[in-house]
Amino acid sequence: MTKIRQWSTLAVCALFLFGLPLWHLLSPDEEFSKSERRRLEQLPELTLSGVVGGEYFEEMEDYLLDQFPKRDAFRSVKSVFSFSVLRQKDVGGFYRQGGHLGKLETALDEAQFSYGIRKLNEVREALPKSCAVYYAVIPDKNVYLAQPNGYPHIDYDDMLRRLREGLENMTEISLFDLLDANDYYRTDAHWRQENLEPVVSRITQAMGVPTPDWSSWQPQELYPFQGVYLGQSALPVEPDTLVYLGNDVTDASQVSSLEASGGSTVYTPDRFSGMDGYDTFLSGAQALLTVENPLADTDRRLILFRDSFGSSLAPLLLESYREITLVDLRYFSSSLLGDYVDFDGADVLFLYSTSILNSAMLFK
Amino acid sequence: MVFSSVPFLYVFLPVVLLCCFVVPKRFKNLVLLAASLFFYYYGERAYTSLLLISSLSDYLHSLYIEKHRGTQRAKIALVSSIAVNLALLGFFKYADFLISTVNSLLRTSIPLLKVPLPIGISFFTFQTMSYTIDVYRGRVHAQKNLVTMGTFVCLFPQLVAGPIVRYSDITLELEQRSTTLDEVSAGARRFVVGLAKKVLVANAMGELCGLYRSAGEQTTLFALLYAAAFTIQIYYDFSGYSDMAIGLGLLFGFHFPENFNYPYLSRSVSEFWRRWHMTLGGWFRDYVYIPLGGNRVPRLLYIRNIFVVWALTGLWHGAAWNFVVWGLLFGVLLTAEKLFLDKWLQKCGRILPHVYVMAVVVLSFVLFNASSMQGALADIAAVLGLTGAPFAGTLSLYYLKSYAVLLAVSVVGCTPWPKKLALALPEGVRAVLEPVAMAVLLLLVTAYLVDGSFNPFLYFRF
Repeated sequence: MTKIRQWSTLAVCALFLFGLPLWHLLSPDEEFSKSERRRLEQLPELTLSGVVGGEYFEEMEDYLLDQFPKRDAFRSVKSVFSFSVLRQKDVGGFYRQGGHLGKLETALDEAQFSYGIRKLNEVREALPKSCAVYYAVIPDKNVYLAQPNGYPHIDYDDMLRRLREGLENMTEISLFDLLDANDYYRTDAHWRQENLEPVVSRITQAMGVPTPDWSSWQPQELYPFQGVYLGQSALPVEPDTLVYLGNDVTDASQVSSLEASGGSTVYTPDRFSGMDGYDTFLSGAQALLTVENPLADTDRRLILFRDSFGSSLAPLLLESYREITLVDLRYFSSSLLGDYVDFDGADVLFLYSTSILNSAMLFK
Repeated sequence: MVFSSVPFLYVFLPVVLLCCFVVPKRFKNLVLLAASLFFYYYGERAYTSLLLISSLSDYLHSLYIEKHRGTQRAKIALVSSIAVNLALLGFFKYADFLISTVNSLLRTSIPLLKVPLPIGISFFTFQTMSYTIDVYRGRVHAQKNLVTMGTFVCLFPQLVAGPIVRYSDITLELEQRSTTLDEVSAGARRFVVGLAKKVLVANAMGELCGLYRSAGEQTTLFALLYAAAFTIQIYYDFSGYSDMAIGLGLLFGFHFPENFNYPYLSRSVSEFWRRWHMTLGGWFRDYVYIPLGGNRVPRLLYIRNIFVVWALTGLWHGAAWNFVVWGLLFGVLLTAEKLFLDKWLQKCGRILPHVYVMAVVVLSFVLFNASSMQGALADIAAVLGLTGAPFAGTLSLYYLKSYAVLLAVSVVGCTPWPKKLALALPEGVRAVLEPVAMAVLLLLVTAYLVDGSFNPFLYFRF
């Protein structure tokens, strides 16, 4: 029996030590990881300078990790073990609550938050007097997941209070009471476009524009939507169904981008199968976008300072405007606004999530 | 290269094992030496030459000592060898400590050299010094074969983080070794257990320590969690690495000395240091304490000897004043125990001495892990609840719940109970459970390594 035990132990160790490298050698290298939304390291070139300088070893280490056979499965093993056996409440800051995945934000980053308020005020001050200026804070999922379930979280009441006190000459549009956890994707940070009716109503009423008829939307479904948290947490959670709402207005509208030549459409479902399925909305993150609604019976224009949440909200406001310009201050310097954006007489809405406001040093 | 990494586990180790298995016996040392030099080069390209210089220096010195044994020349060669080793150690590890101390005391502004610390320098210089001293003392013969000598110094299982192996420990095995099924399976088991200790426990405790440092919450509970986490981390990290080294040694036919013996069971500080980093304690005992006279001198000199050893022990661990204070703290306690405290502890039952040792050890590790003396005092004050901060807060309660299971498991793992339980099982049950346990541990370790990134060993800075 002792010999059986000893040989079995050695066999198991040998299986791992020799079997896994062999499996790697026999498996083709992958180019990118959809779950992690990034390109994977490829086999580095062996050069004398790389060996002497050490870069070869570093690249080889990254390559071996990235191309490890069944990498996603191993990552899931770790996550499941941490949650189910060790009963950890989060793994790498990702937690699972009520079927939802979330990412912890435990404290307000004072420096970044203060910078964000200053930046928004700077932009506000440069706007013409003819602009009606509003701001709305998009609650991140932690408001409805972390806060009620004992996870550490930012003091959102304090955050909102300080925004009210700090932002100058802007009218607040409150959104926190309109949503709950189910209005967000289970596997992603973003809200579900099909659940934004109360948000659209609140914003359009506050800004004095017609509220679109919700029954006019035709939902289109795309599956499976593997949100950003799914890949990063490596937890086994059922993917979402991404729903986008189309109608005659969104079908007719034309999108032009500062970064890409030619036009585009409001929804780009062909991008659903790319790195980030959420890029279906307005083709994803871009510095400056203009969406023109040829069917508008108004000349009103909206300048929307936004983060990625704005990509799914803007199409729902199209009926109320002839043109919506979306500015992402993370990629577009505020000093260039006057050169590219006509603010005269436009409605201006600053629409940022709590997460972005907590990392506002991203604003240029 | 670290043991707990994908390149080591799934490239280096299988290749080296295969090569050692297929080459004839007379080339095994050469293969091990080449592999060990590559192992060191992978992490320390610039300083591989330093390792070679240290090895060559002691190789030549020892041959000279043996040739002139009993003469003044042998003594001079010994002093020269020690001077070379201490000069290397002094320059690469302590130069900036010395400069900054001089700057503080004399208010000068001598620029720091900022020399990067070679990995494992404290380990391999002590190893080679012990070899030369043992040759001088006549305990061992000088090794004439440079490859064999190089293998002893550079052997990758214990090169960068111990145990500190003496030449006398493996003299015969360097020349002639064999492996049995019993030893190879024991080595594999020991290696996997050590790997699991490092990756599954030590790294997680390290994360908890990092969370404490980065969190804004200042509460006594969080400080206590940090202190407990670091106490667990350093034990699992270091003993895990020693387990891996000893396990690897067995795979290649070497029997390295044990380095840990459940130190957190100790009932006195003296006992703690007989169970913690035993090879370092043994080194200082044999090469510093006993040559100074040990305890066979008048009481004042005896106390001096204790303080010299413990100041040096502290300095060995790090080039900063908090390490010296850490070492001297143990010097004070050891002296007190030897003079009167030990007798008192023996009358206190079984629990109180444990509490005393753990309190001392935990606080000493808080001191040990601080970045400066001021930081150490602040950390200790936080642990003792002397800062006026609230006892608990949202974050500390959250992390206590989140890490409760791992903390509990790792506390149990600090005792011999799991091993005793495993050994008490019938052999038939063990025949099934052991390979299953190995498979589960290897699966989990691999999962953690693939998911994580670089996880360097704590004692690498020594």
